Amino acid sequence: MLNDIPNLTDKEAQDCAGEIRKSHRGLPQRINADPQSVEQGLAKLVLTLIELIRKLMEKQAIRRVESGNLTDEEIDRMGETFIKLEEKMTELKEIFGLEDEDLNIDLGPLGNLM
Amino acid sequence: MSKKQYLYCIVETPKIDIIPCKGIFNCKPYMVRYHDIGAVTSEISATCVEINAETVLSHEEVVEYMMMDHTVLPVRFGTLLNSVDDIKAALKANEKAIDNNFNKVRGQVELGLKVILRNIPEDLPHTIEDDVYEDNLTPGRHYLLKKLKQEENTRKRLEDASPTIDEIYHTLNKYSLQSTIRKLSTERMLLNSSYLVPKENIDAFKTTVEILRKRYPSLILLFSGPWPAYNFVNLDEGSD
Amino acid sequence: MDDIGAKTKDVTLLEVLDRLIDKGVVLHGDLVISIANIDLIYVGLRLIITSVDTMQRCYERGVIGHV
Repeated sequence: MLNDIPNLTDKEAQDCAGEIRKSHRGLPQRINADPQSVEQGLAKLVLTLIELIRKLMEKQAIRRVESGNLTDEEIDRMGETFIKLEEKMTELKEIFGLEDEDLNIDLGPLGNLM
Repeated sequence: MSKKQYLYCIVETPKIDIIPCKGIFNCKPYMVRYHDIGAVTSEISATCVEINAETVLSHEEVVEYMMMDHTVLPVRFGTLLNSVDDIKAALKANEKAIDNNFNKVRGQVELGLKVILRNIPEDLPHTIEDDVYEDNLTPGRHYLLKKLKQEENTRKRLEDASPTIDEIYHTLNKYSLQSTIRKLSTERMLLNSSYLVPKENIDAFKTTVEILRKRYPSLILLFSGPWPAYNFVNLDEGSD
Repeated sequence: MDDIGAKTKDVTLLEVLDRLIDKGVVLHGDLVISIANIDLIYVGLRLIITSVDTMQRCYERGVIGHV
């Protein structure tokens, strides 16, 4: 290896590794070509898209709560919808054996927004 | 059993035909030439490449070996082509863009710097307690207000960290022609940045990292490199 | 025994992964991107996200109206 990682203490190395792992969005971890995993790949795609849209909608909702032009009732209703969506997603993730990280695509410049 | 070509990198003016590296799945890497461009490839039997320490390091080893003596465009991990003819066709189709990318990265390397908070900050957005708000909120309202609070917290953390991040970034950016930056990749990773640096600036860059390390003892400055210019090659852009 | 070395090695591998997996030249055309259909999907997603981001920026700059 050409690249040069400085002498890190045990703890530093552990911390760095942990944070790099966390920052690693959307990277397929284990991939095989058997049919079952292709199905999982498809589920991953679909759920990732749903999760992306859910997050975008949630952002939009938060913006509107922040701007103060929603009625109390509207906020209640929207919030409940998001809770239900989140529950549904948890269920689906379990069914397909996917973790949160699996659905965390690299949002590039959007990363900070999400 | 169908064979595929696993591609590692594209090089300028190949000087060798056999690459003395183990190669992915122990398949010897060799050079495919088109005009003055070379593509380093291994013939493999697999139809897909699993991401694991071995495959990733085999790929990297080949690219780094080529980098010692060549201008190199690293290829995305997991790229398979059907045949040597297909490689040549791909090189032909992208000849101009490849040339432009060679011009951009010739004599340059990529250096990386990640800045990580040494200690776990206390005000992490996800640590916000449920009982921040009064009990009489409906679940829906509670949910959204909590999300809002978390977001405000993240925004504030970014604001607070910005002067430090910017200083580190701008100090190092002086040595580079191009850079990529990402702030607050995780709650502790304040900065994830890469720099395209002329080889003669590598030492100055490293010295500066050392100075910054002393200046910011509360931060871990994770330097890495020299790398092939992973973050700075792009055939789509180069074709203009 | 050589635990520090092992952990640093872990960081090195992650640093390699951080670059190699989703960066580097993408060849179009006859190319078969392997990773069992998934990387293709990933590349496709990036396109969608870029569009969403552009939209969002336009929205923020007031170039397009409120949704």
